[in-house]
Amino acid sequence: MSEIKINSKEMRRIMLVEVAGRVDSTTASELGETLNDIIDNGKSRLVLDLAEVEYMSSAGLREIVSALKRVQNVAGTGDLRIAAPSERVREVLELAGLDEIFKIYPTQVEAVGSY
Amino acid sequence: MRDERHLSFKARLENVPSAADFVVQSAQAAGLDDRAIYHCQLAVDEACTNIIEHGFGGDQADTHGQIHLITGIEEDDVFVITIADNSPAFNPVTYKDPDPTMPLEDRPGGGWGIYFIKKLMDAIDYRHADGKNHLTLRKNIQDAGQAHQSKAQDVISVTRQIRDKDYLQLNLAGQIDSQTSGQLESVLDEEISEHGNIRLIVSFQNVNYISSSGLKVLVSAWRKARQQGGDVLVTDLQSRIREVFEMIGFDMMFHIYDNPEAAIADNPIDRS
Repeated sequence: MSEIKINSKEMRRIMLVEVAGRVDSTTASELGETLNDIIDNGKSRLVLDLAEVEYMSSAGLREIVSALKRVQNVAGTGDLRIAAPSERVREVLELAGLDEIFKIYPTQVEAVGSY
Repeated sequence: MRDERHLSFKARLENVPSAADFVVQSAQAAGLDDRAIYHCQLAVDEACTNIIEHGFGGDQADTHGQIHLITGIEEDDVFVITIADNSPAFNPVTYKDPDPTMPLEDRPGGGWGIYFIKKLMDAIDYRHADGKNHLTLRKNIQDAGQAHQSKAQDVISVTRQIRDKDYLQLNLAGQIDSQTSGQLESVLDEEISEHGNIRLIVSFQNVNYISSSGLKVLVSAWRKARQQGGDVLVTDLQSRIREVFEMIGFDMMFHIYDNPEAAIADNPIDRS
């Protein structure tokens, strides 16, 4: 099994979700459940900080895409923005064309400040 | 085929990360560069995950499914991975690719794993024989000399100076972009994580460019140093770089000084 750590922090206007470790088919559901819980609790402005994610497979991408679909369905202001992806994570985002779909920021500060 | 290595495992998701790690070790031994190794790791992860989830109908504790991996080197410059499994015949090569330019609402949830494998590998072959699927992935081994040359064009230099009040000053010179930020990252990491030097002054006097990847490295070092009661103080910013810092709010995070002497005199670490 792979290791994943997820830490969510409620900030003034947004929910910050920091992920660390490997996001693959053994851990992706944990990320998906966390995001779903946050959205179920009425939060629709999310920042997903991937700075400490060393590895992301399509199983992880599937979870963040379905979370994006959910928050964008919330009237008007919902979004899920990505902060600080490593070169490797950025490469898979680009392969799947997700760099055109997600707003991606080089740092957490910029992603949080973008709302 | 040279340096042939085998691994067999039960078709459970929990076994996939270590199977991918087995491939990482083989790829390292074959002399692939880090990026190519990562591509192999991801391709094998995606392939095995698909076999378990679709071929064997899900992650089941009592599965009879077995996956067999063989790695090796062909013709001196091709790293080969064969993945064999006894699930029903399925040919990923002819599977229809999803379209990465599709808008969010029309995107299929699945199919991306196979697409990644095709994009990340140099060649992919499928055959069904002896009641098994055999998927063969090939990744070319780049000429090590060539890879080294392309890296040598972009370097940053870092000099260290021990200063008063236990500060360590790092003088950076060059362009900090996506090519060189990794170098900066390892320098900062070594100082903070290995040597425990958490009172850092980073002088940008001879840095004329910093990209977002460089800024990210700096923030990550700043965060690590502060977590341990230290700090990363920034000095000698050229006006263009100072503008970037201000634009993205780094001036609110970092202590920024005109020169290292001013940083040491202010000594914000012991003040806070």
